[in-house]
Amino acid sequence: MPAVIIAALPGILKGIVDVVSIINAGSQVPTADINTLIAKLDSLIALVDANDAEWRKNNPG
Amino acid sequence: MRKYLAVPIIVLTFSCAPKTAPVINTVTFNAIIAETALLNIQTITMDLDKTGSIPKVTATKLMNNIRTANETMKLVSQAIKTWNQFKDNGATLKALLPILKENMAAIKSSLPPNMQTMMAVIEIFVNFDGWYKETAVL
Repeated sequence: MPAVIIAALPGILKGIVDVVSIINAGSQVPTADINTLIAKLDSLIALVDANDAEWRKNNPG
Repeated sequence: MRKYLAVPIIVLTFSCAPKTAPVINTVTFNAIIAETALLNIQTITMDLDKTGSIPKVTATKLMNNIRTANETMKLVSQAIKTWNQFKDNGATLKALLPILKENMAAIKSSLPPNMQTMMAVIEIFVNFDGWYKETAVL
């Protein structure tokens, strides 16, 4: 099994578990559910943005 | 080996997601899965670039494609918010999905061989066909 897959798995599984936790929590508080999901999506988008900014800082041009 | 990884992920995902969840929740859930995949590809690209395991030109191309997909995801997020707030017909979101699919295809085509297997795993649960079906009922 390629090392890349092994490296990716913890992150992928953590992401899935996080999402499932949010869904389960949301199902107990229906009014907060969709807003919680949107907040999670936005936090992931912000993470990708932050990584991108860091990479561009280290790789100008 | 791939199937052994995919099966628990799929079972976990579909067994835990509420069966009666509103369409908007399911669509947002799909968006989160896609964004999680994007974040993972990006993190791995940066790590492989740091260790010199992939050529700089490949890393740059991948990072550019990931950035483009992330910009589309920002629009998807906005479309979901509009949909949630104004209960519109979701037309913007529907229009964005093919663009996002193209963005992901561009990422796939720029992956080096040592990352292709990872994309095969990711594609199993970034399910665009399911996403289209969900939005089709709007």
